[in-house]
Amino acid sequence: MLKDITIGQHFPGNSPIHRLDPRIKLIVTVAYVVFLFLSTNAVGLALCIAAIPALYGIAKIPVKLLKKSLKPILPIILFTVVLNLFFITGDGAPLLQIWKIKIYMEGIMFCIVMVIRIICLISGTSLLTYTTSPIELTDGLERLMAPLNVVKFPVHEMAMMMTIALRFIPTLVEETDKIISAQKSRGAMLDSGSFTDRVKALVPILIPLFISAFRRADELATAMECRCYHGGKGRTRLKQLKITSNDIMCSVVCIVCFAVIFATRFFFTPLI
Amino acid sequence: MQEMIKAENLWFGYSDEKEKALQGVNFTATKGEFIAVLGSNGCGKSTLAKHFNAILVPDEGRVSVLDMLTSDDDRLFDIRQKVGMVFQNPDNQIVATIVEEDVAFALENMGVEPTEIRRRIDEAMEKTGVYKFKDKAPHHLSGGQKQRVAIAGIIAMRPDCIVLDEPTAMLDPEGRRKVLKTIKTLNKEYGITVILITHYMDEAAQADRIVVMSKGKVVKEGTPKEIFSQVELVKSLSLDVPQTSEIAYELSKLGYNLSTEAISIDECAQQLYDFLKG
Repeated sequence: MLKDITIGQHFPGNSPIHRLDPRIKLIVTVAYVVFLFLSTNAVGLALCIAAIPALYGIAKIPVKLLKKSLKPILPIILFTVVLNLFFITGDGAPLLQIWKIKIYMEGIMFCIVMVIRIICLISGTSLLTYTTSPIELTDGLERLMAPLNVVKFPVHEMAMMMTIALRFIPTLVEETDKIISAQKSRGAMLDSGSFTDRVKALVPILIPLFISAFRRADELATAMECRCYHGGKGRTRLKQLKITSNDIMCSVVCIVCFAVIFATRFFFTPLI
Repeated sequence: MQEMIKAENLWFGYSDEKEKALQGVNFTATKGEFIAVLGSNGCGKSTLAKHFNAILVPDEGRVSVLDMLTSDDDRLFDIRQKVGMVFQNPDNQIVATIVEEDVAFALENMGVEPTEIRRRIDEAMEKTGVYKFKDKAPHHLSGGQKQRVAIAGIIAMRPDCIVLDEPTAMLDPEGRRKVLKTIKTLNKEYGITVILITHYMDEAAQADRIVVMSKGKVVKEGTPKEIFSQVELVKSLSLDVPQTSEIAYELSKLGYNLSTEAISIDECAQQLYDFLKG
């Protein structure tokens, strides 16, 4: 049951997007999110939406996956819709009034824009994890954040923690499954009873899990010391990141796209 | 012969235990040797192993690796590069999410050039037979394969000695066989000194020399033949002897004249054959 959980799922491939330098992908993703929230007019938003199927097409990622990644955020979308619909007030007369709740045109527009933004946000960032292996991602992050070393921010340590976390997710998931089976075989009722009963039943699962995680951490630390680990100082990397012509071309295309999206602000009236 | 590791009158105690874990251990490993360390649980063999690459330093006495003292902080990384260590649980030794990245981990820490890292990890993966898994994620491998990846990660450092702390304890027979074969190849073909801590007598029987520990002391040292022929002594230390020695021992108790020194299966079979033939 726990095997279905996948964090930062990666779909290996050989598309131009897969081959893109992780640093550029990271920057472009962040820029995309920023421009998504900067575009307030119909054309700008339409361009942002259009980018998603186009990029998924190039990366050859099936749209089915997209649906799967959007499903869990459905409650968040609904919550945003309801909140905005009822609480945003406009200048004119309300479109609809039921008891004390007033719905304005502005509220509806804002809802639509927000839903589009959230969906694009999730789709865009999922594309990053779909096309980039975790190790490339942490590598890219480590290098992008390298300037923060100046202000004594532990960049290497953060990246190392991320790598180890990613490495141990499957191990700990497997372990949790084993502990659950062990407790069930001793009569633990995990699937029945009231809500509080079920929460209480989690305690005998979490305690062994934590104890074993600490033991693992201790052993891993010793094993890392045995392999001369002493922090990020003087460390080299097996895989060097190199900016290729593919990367430069993609960056130029992205900059042009972003410029166009930004330019629409000056030609079209905003929706909200 | 050059001394690889030398421990002299080594005392060590953990702060939360009254009794010292090591009580005056003397131990020497010469270059190229294959040593097995035997002993029941809690006899201090893992503690001893951790002294060989300065994970622990002695309370009293001294440990030196190729004449470098483990208590010398300046030589710490030299020592750890010379003496690699492999532990029981392969899952808790693998750091990276891709096999080859993990094998490269030690070299990255040592600041080796990327092209040189590539060369050395390919070589290490070839030697341990894990090259075909190099792009896989560790959790998709079997226990034995993972343990060989862990060994490759150590071999990539080009150590002169590897210390293995019960490397086969969590593996199935197939995984065990392959790991042991890898260890023997490293010792015989590449001349790497091997110190193998084990509970399996058949593994210990393949070593050049066996060191038996009990209650923090070295109680017996010798070739597998010398050790296992003394069946009663070995049993008194709550250890076992290989099945080959066991059968000769049981038969000689019944009054038949058989030698417990025949510890390989071939030797044992020959002896039984000769005996039955009269």
